Amino acid sequence: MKIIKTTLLAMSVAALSQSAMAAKTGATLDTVDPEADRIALQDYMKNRFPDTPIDEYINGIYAVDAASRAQWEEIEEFPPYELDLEAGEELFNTPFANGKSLADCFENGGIGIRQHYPKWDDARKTVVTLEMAINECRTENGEKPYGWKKGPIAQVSAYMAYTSRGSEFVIDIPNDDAKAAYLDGKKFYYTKRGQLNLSCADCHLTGTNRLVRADLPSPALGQATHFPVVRSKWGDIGTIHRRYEGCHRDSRSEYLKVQSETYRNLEYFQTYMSNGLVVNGPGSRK
Amino acid sequence: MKKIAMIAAVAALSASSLTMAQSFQEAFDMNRAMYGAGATFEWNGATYNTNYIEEELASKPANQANAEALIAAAEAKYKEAQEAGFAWRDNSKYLKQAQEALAAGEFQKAMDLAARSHLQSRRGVEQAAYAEQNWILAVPPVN
Repeated sequence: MKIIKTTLLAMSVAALSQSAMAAKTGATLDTVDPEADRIALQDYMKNRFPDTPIDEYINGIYAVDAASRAQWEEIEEFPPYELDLEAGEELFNTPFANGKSLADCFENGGIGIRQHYPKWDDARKTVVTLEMAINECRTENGEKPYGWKKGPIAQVSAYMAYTSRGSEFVIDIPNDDAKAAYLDGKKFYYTKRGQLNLSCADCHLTGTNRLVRADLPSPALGQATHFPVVRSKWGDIGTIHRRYEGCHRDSRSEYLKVQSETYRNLEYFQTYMSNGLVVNGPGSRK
Repeated sequence: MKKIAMIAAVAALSASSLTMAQSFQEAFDMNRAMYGAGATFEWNGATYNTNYIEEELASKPANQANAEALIAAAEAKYKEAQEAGFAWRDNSKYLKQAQEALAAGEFQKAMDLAARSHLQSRRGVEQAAYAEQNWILAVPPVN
């Protein structure tokens, strides 16, 4: 009898130790702690790259790889997004047919607000990205929406980001519904998928600054601060969802539509991880 | 002290017995990796082969009925993978090519393509189940 009691006690200890581990790491709505996640990610990066100050992570791989940084600094002497910024400003200020403009749809006339996006819309129970808000503004005023990935949408977004340069991201998670969206984005980021069995984290957490063929993946911290970006590979400017689509496809997954709920939740998680870092979009990347 | 040692031993045994319950898959994977398709291996006193289920299905006689059945199975599995959010990039391409081969009367080609799609979808569904239990392990720990 004593042996049976001891055995049962031991099995309970084994079961409890497993559930305790899950509670610490935040896999459920009850246990997920966005702020603890953000600090844990910063701690991870401090450990990986002790010589890199946290505020440098807005520069992606250029924060941790000196050779890449030297090339990037040369490129930034004549920023490849300059013409897009000018085009974005002009589009932003061009009135709609009804006389209103994009400025009428945003707080502070749309100037200096990038650091609040993506934001939780509690009435609709969904995450609203800046690009989504831009296109909704257009359709609500009788205009056609822009295409989602490049061109005018990225140019307007780039201009709006530029007006926020230097402001710290302050993504808010106001309630449990918003936290569920954050958790969904977090889960997507850390989940292996596709024929290559790769997660975002495989390349950008454990794999950052390690060669994937000829590329060095950027660190997971600060990935959302500099979008939209002009990528040398693209040869033009694009949104962060354009990049999501490419990464997702590269894992040999059936990729999702840009601005799908899953990608918006992913952006919500990633941008929350950038809280405290400053907006430095638009940017240029390899 | 004796009680603590007993608890530790039973806890360790519980963990190892859980691991043993998964050892068929490990045996299959090891033999498949070493000998490829068409080999046999022993596990727990019984003999098994190293073929994937899709290889068994694709080796049936190449005719319209078998091709249609395998394409239907592949489409169902693809839908299952999509619903789990883990469909792979080329599944739909293989299915389309299988349908084209079927229409052209190339039954073996249709069966091979459908089998390939089925395998990818099955792997995607397995990946979803694994991810559900294990994704959290990749998150940096809170200090």
